[in-house]
Amino acid sequence: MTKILLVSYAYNEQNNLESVIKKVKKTQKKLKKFETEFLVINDGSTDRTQELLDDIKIKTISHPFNLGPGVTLRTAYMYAVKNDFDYVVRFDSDGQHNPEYIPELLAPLFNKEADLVIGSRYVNDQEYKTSFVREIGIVFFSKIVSFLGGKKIADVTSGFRAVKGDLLKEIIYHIPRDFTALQLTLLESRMGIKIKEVPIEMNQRLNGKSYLNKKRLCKYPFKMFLAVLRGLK
Amino acid sequence: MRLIFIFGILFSFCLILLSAFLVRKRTLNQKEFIIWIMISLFILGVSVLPGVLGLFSRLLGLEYTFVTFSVIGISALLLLSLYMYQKLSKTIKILIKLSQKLAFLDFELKEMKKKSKK
Repeated sequence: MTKILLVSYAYNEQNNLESVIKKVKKTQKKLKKFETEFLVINDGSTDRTQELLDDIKIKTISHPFNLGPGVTLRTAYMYAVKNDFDYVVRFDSDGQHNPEYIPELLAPLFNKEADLVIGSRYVNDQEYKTSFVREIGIVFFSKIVSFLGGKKIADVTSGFRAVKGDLLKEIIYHIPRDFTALQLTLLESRMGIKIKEVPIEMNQRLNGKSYLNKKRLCKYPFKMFLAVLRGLK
Repeated sequence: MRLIFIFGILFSFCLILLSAFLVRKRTLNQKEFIIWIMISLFILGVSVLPGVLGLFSRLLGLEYTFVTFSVIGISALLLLSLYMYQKLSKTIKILIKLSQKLAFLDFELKEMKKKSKK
């Protein structure tokens, strides 16, 4: 039976987790002909996230302290490799990524149209409201990554992705510690991985603060440039 | 002999003694001890033979030996801080690997407990 891992990361998401988990469970029912497993990587949350996950009895791998999004992704992929999953779908647990789109992300993998599917905010002119500066940044770096990677990708920073399990061993050690999506997308497209974007609607974060606070937002363009340089390896 | 050179000699001896003490206490490893001994010997050298600094100054085209000393000192400190950053980076990598391993072990233990309850 085909094994699918649905993995989400949580860092201080006590107010968002419950609604995300409900949607995941609904989606798991839709995917009942497959063996699906839902796993949350708790990246050193300091609020009630862990307690909540234990109460709802969700499988959780908990980092002893906050290790950042890159390491969290590595942990998720390590688990998938260890347990021989055929496909992995990853998404945030802040409510921005709607788990109901998971079957649509998986479809191109099942049809062998792609090895990696990105849930994109910009592929069909969806309306996604973000700050003007951030939007310019995403469009600008998407163009750079598309140019350097030799493949047009409209949304390089989207973290809502589905990937074939047998690719993970190749990808896992290239995942940067402090930054993920852009550098990884560039690496993946340069590695010749078949990438496809499917349109998704992204919500605004349900509750709490984004990982990208003002300080991080200022560092973001520099990190992006660094990511591009590293991704060229 | 100028007072500054006497101070240099005393300071380098103190640095050697302090490094040796920290090695004995195992708060400084062998590699770091060698670095600090080299720094101490450099200070001792220029304090005992200040003419060496004058020679360096002429070679670098600098008028004052103090400026030469500062240039060499700042360059050495920059190299040292780069080395320390590299060390720190390596240590963080190890810490991350250990934390991940701990997280996996903790997860496996929880799963085993769940299974034994059933």
